[in-house]
Amino acid sequence: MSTSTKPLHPAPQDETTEPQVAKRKRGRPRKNGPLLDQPKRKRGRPRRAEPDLADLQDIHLDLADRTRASGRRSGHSTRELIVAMANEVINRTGIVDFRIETVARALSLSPGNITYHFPKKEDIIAAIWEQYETTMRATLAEIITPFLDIKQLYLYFRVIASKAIAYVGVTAYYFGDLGVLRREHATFARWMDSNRTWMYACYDRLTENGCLRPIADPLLRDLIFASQITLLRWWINNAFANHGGDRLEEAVNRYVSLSLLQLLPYLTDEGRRQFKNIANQIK
Amino acid sequence: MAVIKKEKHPTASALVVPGVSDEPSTRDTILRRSLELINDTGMVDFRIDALSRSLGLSPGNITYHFSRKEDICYALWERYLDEYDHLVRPLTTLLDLRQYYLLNRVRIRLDYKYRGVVLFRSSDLGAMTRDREVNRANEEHHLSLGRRAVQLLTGNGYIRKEATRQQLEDIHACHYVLTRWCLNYGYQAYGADDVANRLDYLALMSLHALYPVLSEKGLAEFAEIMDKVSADDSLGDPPLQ
Repeated sequence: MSTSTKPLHPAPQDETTEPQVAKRKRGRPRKNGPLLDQPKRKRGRPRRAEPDLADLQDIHLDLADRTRASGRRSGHSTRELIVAMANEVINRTGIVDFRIETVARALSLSPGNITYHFPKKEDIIAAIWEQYETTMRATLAEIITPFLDIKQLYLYFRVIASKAIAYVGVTAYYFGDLGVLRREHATFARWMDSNRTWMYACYDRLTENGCLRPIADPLLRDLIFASQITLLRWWINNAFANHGGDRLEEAVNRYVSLSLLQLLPYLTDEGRRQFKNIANQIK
Repeated sequence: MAVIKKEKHPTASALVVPGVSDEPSTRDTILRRSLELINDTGMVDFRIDALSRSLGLSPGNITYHFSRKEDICYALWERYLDEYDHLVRPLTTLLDLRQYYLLNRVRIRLDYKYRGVVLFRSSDLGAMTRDREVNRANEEHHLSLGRRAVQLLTGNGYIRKEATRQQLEDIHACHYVLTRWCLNYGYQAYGADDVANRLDYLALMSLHALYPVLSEKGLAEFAEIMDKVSADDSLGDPPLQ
């Protein structure tokens, strides 16, 4: 975004100053006089989200005690505080509308302090992504047990799906921006392969444990895997588009059960019983 | 769905020199080139100055038409919606799985044509928040089409009679997510250069959403489609530019 190149000026610390009004920086000036008083927005035209501190007020309160000093006392470095706060802001605004100034103001730091740790906002984003990746790797490594049944699989899927909630802004960007998808393809392809291996092992284990009939056809196997992973990875976009960021936790159960649905044709009587049980509990 | 027609800038027509009016307008040229660039780099990395350089226009000329890159994105999104509205979706009483596969395929191909804009609109939290209404309308439209299709498929014996209402609703939701985000899956699994060759497979994937409720007849036809699709990927499809 163009703003990352915008010179950072120290944000006014005075609480009484009004938030800056969006200014049109480029382009032709508006001609019609009356419209100037009441800025008219072309229908559907994307509105640049100004850092809206009112909207971030609850974050502000949450983190009121997380100022630098108390952060230090509780053992968090400034860098960690910045990453945590930036993540919370991004989870509301998305990457494109994310501004370093917003984080600075919310943490009562000077923008210069933040750019000392992270020269560009892309660096903050990369740090958050790294955190997400580490969390996911740790989770997946521990997840599979010999006792795997449909209920456990549900739990695993739920863990995978809901880990993303805390990182929705950054993961939506990494899983949805063409530039990132292109740049990171090698990583994603590796992930996909290891996910596939992992999921196939799950199907086999479920078969051994009497929950699933074997899925012999390799193409069907791949289709089931592809559908499940797509639902588990991009459910959050659909949920966000429908409910916004505040109700993702409520929505996650439904999407996880949707991804289980792909196994329905292969469930044994035992598997079916567990599946029904889950469906009833979710309702 | 409401398609918002953007009015031409009042002075735009005055700029057209008589006699060359069949030339594509600057605005058109900008949009066409932008789509190519956005499809390549994605919205976030798309820059107006890169666009102006590749068109040999001054940046001022572009910002005259579109003051910010978001305006270009929105104009392209409108074109997408326009084309989406004009997609022929012939749901006849003859509907079978092959026809339904084709409908999925047509939609995914359109998404692919506008991939830069479509992926951005269905991935950026800011864009999704601003466009909640349009997204909802789009999803509602998709779901009602899906419900009608499943009704017809049931009538023609492709869906199990004992499928419950709840199951069918779940299937529709799966179908929406799979159709909408299968391109993202394609990008991750196959990479940017190979997605175009996998559209058939991705369409099969969105058809696979129905798999849990297919009847014997439906399963047999699905197996046939699957054989064909895995045999020759996208052979029947002229390449997109």
